Amino acid sequence: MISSLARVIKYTLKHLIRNASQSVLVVLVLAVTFLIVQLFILLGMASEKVIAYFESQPQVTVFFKDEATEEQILQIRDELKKDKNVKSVAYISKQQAVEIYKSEHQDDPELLEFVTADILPASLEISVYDINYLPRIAQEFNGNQFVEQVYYQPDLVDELTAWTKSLRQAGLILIAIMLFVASAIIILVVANNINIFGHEIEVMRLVGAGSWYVRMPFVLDGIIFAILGAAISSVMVYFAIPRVESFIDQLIASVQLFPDPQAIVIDLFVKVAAVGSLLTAFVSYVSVWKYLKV
Amino acid sequence: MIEFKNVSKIYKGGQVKALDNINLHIKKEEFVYLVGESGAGKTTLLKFLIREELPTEGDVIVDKESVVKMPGRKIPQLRRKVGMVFQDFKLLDKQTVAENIRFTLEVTGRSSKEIKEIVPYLLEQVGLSDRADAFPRELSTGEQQRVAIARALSHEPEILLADEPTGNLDDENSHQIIELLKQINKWGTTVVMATHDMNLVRKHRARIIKLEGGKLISD
Repeated sequence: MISSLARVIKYTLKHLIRNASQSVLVVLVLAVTFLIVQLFILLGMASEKVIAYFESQPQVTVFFKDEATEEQILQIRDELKKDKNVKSVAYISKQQAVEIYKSEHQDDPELLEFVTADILPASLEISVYDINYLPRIAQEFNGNQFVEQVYYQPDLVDELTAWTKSLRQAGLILIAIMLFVASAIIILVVANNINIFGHEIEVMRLVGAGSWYVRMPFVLDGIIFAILGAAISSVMVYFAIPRVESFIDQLIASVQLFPDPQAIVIDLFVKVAAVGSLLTAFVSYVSVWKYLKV
Repeated sequence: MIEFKNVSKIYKGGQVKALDNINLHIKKEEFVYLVGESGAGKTTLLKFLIREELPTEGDVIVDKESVVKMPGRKIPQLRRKVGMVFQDFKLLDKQTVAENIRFTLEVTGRSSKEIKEIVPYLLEQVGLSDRADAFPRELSTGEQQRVAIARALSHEPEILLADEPTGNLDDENSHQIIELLKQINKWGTTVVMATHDMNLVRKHRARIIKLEGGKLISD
């Protein structure tokens, strides 16, 4: 068995080298296909981050009554911080509120004249990870004895939710179409490559080779093609990431899309190589079948 | 060793009868010529013996086993028992002469040591020792025929089938091939040779089975 396996591997390598131009062509087509798939995945990841960034922007602002002490407000803030759905809670004291007001209206001295810390309320600005959680947060403060007013924009939240949902669905459909097209290309390329060797397979069968012995070199070929294709496309993706990042950075500076590009590329390589190998091995296995009927 | 029982082959939905009720028996270590014009059914008859094709009716027995009823997994064993020299040689173009022979030995599970001994021996027997590293496209037709014979012999088959082995050769090469097949027969291998060259058959006498229009005319 070990000797047979060694012979099959040796035969596979020889087969690859003897048909170098054909092998290079298949690898390049797979590399381009994988590159497109990987870029789509990266685009999906980047879109998700951008959508998440926009989703995290709306806030619930809770304004407190004058009788609420700072200690009581900070206690509420600390309770909120324990909530896993809450991304951040910022306490704005009366004094800070005045400062913010003054900085926003510094060009209009008339508006600044009568504003003191006694007039403006203290508040908590709450942002969440999931935009759908905002109404629940707002609801929690309605009827609270210390709360003067709960402010958030339900219309804006609803609109944003509808937009992000549509964007995600469109992204999923696009990725599904891309995967279908990529699979079709891989199937056509690998099956066509085997068709070229149809005569060879038939001869192997006629001189007494068993199915395993005939099939394995082609299955191994398929796996090697997929791994090489994935490696080439991953290297290209590695160099593409900084360019994509700098482009997105021009639009939204505060979103860090790919904090660890190396880890992302390695992860993508492993996944694409694994799925690609399974697909090419399966296609090779099935494509050899019709020649084994001899 | 080989038996054809009421064997018929019909192609194209019953319109072409390639073989019609053939009954034959070939003994172990016999040398048999299968003669007839092109289209007489010689190749079809040989193809049954390696199960490249199946008869429409009847049964084909090789070494007491029905080829027709044989399960798929046993076909490689049959093909190792019955070596065939194909009319179009069927050599692997991307493999050298030695590799074409070596490959057949590898699939039959021979050890590397045995293969290293057998390949040069077979090449010497067919007079191609100096062409071991050549590719089939670099050989003459006669040389390709010899490689095909060496490959068919490599796993020491009990039966050797040769389909028009002299079809593309000149007289001198043809006689050399027949002498080689006779020699192989003397070593104990049953040889069935299909040919349409009656001159050659007359010069190298042996049992003659004649087919015409798919029918057995004489034996």
